Amino acid sequence: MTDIVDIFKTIIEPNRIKVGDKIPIKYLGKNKSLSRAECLLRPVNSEEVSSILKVCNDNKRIVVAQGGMSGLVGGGDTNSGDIIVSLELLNTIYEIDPVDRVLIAGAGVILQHAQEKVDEIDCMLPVDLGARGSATLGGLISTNAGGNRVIRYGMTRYSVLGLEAVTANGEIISSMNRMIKNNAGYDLKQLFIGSEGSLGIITKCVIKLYPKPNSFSTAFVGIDNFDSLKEFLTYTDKELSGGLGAFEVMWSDYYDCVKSNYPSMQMPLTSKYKYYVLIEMLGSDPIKDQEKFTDALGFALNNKLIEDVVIAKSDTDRKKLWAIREDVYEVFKKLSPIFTYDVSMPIKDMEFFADETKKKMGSMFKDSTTLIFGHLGDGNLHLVVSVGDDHDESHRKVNNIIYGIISDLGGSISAEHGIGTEKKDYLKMTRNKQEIDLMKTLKRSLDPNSILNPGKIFD
Amino acid sequence: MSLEIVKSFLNAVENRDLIQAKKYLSPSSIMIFPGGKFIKDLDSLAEWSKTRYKFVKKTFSTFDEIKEGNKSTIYSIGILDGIMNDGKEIKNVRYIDRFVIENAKIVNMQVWNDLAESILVDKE
Ligand SMILES: Cc1cc2nc3c(=O)[nH]c(=O)nc-3n(C[C@H](O)[C@H](O)[C@H](O)COP(=O)(O)OP(=O)(O)OC[C@H]3O[C@@H](n4cnc5c(N)ncnc54)[C@H](O)[C@@H]3O)c2cc1C
Repeated sequence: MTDIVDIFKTIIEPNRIKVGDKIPIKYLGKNKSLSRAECLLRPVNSEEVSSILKVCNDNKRIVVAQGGMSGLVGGGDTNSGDIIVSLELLNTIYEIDPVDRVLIAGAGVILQHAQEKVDEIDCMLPVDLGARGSATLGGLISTNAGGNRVIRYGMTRYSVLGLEAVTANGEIISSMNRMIKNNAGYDLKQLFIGSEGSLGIITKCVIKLYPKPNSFSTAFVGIDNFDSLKEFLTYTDKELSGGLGAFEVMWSDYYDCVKSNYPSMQMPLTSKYKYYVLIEMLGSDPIKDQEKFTDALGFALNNKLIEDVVIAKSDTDRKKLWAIREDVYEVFKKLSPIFTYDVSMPIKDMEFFADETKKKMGSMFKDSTTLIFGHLGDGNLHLVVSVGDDHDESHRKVNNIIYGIISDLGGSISAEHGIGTEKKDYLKMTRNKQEIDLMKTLKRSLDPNSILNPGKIFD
Repeated sequence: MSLEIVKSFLNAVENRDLIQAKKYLSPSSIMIFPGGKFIKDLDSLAEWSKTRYKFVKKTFSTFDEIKEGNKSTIYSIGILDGIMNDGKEIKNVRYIDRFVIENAKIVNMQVWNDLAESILVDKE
């Protein structure tokens, strides 16, 4: 019997194949200690991806697509015998069109690289998130990632105009539409957006661009109660007339934890408020926008929607304020082991959710830390929970507390990170039986041999 | 008229006569101080000042006024002297205050100065 690796050697250059122990650790995902995939393949174009999938389909071999491996739910994790298809070498930017305002690029292009290229022609990619230095366009699309600007531009799905994907049998489906309006039949690209590599492998994409904002007005705000927080969001959303670019909320435990664990971090406000908001307005006229922004904050302060506020006076200040929300890896490291969550719910329920979670955590665990923060304007909260160990039993208990409350509130157990392996046991808390059955029907019809990332999202 | 309001306001603040100073401020006024810090009223300003310096005195150099309809913008430029809370002397530090006056009340006040820079120089 011919070794499958030998077949792959006839498709791609051998130096782009790594086998067994030779697979670098970064491709092994979170369960790296458990098992190694059979081999890693690094194709350079769609045709190679197609040939690889044909071989895998004929041989019923499991394929795990990988981008930058920054996903947070184990979607790129592998088991022994799996074939990893890394898209990182599909990293060509084919076109940036400033008139149609589109970016056409390979799935392996890293977000930050695309952002920088697009910036050169005074345009902006709508998607932005903390993992910009490693996440790829294909990974962002296949997880339908959210990020910092969803409140203004929507999830990744909203900016994908077209894409090319390879299905399990190796068929290349080119749906590289670059028009905003195209209602000719089914919108097939949607099948591949957010399906976490389980229905096809994305190889190229067309992303809608926006004019680059010329002004960023940023402030850090302290607020004492949740009603004011909601009112402040509604007020600024209206008052900044569509310019609200970010509304990131941090509960006081988060703010205090960053402050005490990160002495070099410059904290803009005293630690006496219940909520902290990083608010940002994106616009086109630096002077007028700043005036509008400060007027809105002044009004909010005078009318007691907010208690305290500091505005960024320079780009350096702006980066320092964002660091409190984004550059907190060190803090999480100190708390580790941690469990992380990404949930969504109606904004009106968030106060109850946070209080109830902390109460239940307090009665279940003697010593626990629960930090809550997130994109409140999008109804999305992140939680970082530490209970002192990372035993499965503890993880299950925390999951049950958090997902139980979410389920009662009719929220979602995954606002933006996807399901992967980590949340699949809880999918039924968010999706009903009919929905899950239809997902499985789609999976069976596009991937009858179940070779594409099986065991992710659902079994 | 607007210039008089600003001068009277600055004098009242310097004399710590907050009751008098408040009379020149619109109820919805916005005050932004160095560091991008919003101060919601004069009482908070007094509190905030206490955390920074023991006392500070302004020597006015020039006042520039720009009129636009019923709105007037006034820049007060000068120097600061005083003593920081840690005992350091504040000497000849430049400042600019910008006031927007509408309907005979200050609606917006922004303050810039080189205090942070002068402290940095001291540390070098
Ligand atoms: C510091 C940090 C901050 C983050 N912040 C956010 C945030 O604010 N919002 C948010 O939504 N997410 C956030 N994320 C997670 C985010 O989902 C991922 O960063 C990104 O979407 C995945 O891109 P990737 O290229 O790393 O994909 P990978 O991690 O490699 O893969 C993720 C999933 O996509 C599949 N996949 C990858 N490439 C392809 C392809 N070409 N075709 C088909 N399937 C593919 C994989 O099989 C896997 O299931 C964050 C992650 C980090 C580390």
